Amino acid sequence: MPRRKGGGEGQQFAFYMDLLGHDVINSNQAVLSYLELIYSNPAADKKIKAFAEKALTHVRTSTLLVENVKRLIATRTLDLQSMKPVDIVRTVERAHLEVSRFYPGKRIRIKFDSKPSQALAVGDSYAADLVLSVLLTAVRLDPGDEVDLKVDLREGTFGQRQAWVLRLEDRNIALPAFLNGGGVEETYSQDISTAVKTTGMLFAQMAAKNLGGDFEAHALVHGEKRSGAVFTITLVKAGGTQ
Amino acid sequence: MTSVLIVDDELFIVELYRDILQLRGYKVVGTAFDGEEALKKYGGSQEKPDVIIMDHRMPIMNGVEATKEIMRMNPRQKVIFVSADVLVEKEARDAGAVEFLPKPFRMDDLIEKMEKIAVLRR
Repeated sequence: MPRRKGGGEGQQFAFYMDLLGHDVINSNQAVLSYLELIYSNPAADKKIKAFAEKALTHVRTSTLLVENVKRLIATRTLDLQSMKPVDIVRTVERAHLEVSRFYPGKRIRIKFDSKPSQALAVGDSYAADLVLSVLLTAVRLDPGDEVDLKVDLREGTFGQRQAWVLRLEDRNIALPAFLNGGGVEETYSQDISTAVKTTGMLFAQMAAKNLGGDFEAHALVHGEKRSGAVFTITLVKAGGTQ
Repeated sequence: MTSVLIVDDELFIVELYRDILQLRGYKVVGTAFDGEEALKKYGGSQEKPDVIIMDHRMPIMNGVEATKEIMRMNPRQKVIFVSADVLVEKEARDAGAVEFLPKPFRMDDLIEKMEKIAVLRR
């Protein structure tokens, strides 16, 4: 695992967060498992199963919130030099499987517009978590049961560095207005009530920045009839020039 | 019937595993709430459990230490390690755990790993 640096108050916060996260995840384990029992019970009727499925999604979301905050703490103190490269193509494919499991009631389709055979980026498991988090957020914000995501992965630059630019587009998302400008972090510091709804994007932006890259979220169609969303993740190429 | 020893410091988690494993036809032969209690129960039992489900973060003795001690007593013992701390996976496997499940997991995933072990025993 990558080495971490930092200390003081941040370390104390991380310690309390770790304790809280551990206990919340334990509770979620119990709720999740009993709900699974209800869901798989042949005696349960369709409506009960539908309620159980909704509850399952909420418990998974609660776990994800805890994990995102834990990851946020971890990414703040990452040492990029000790990280292993991650293949973004495989990462998107794995995230697709994971998100489909997360939302069993939704049919999630991913179509690559442009896909290299391999795209190695700096970021280790944190980059994989970042991609998963953005994908989960996109599916969460899409109100439909059929989710179609258009994915484009191509080479680019970020500052002076070579990078991989991953673009995810969903035409059905109603992106919260506060995210339209892409300034995720600033908005979070202003309005915590909206912040908790999209912690995944805050994590994505902070993680991307801490990994030397970037993350942005924009509406696909601007103006009064805003609709759709584009999420752009930029990650530094593994072995890319400085 | 595959026998199981459950080790976790949270009573509701122990009850959860017991409920589900018994429902799926497994025999829960014992429970322990910390690593030391697990060692006492394991060492004192005539018939060793086929599988131990081991948590990590517990008082008195953690799961990694308990697993090391159990493997010293019986290197063939099968331990499935379950923890909310994904960072302990390597330590757990080094200690001798054959499987690792990060919490929260689907019960089907635990059953799948239990079945894998049961098949190897046959």
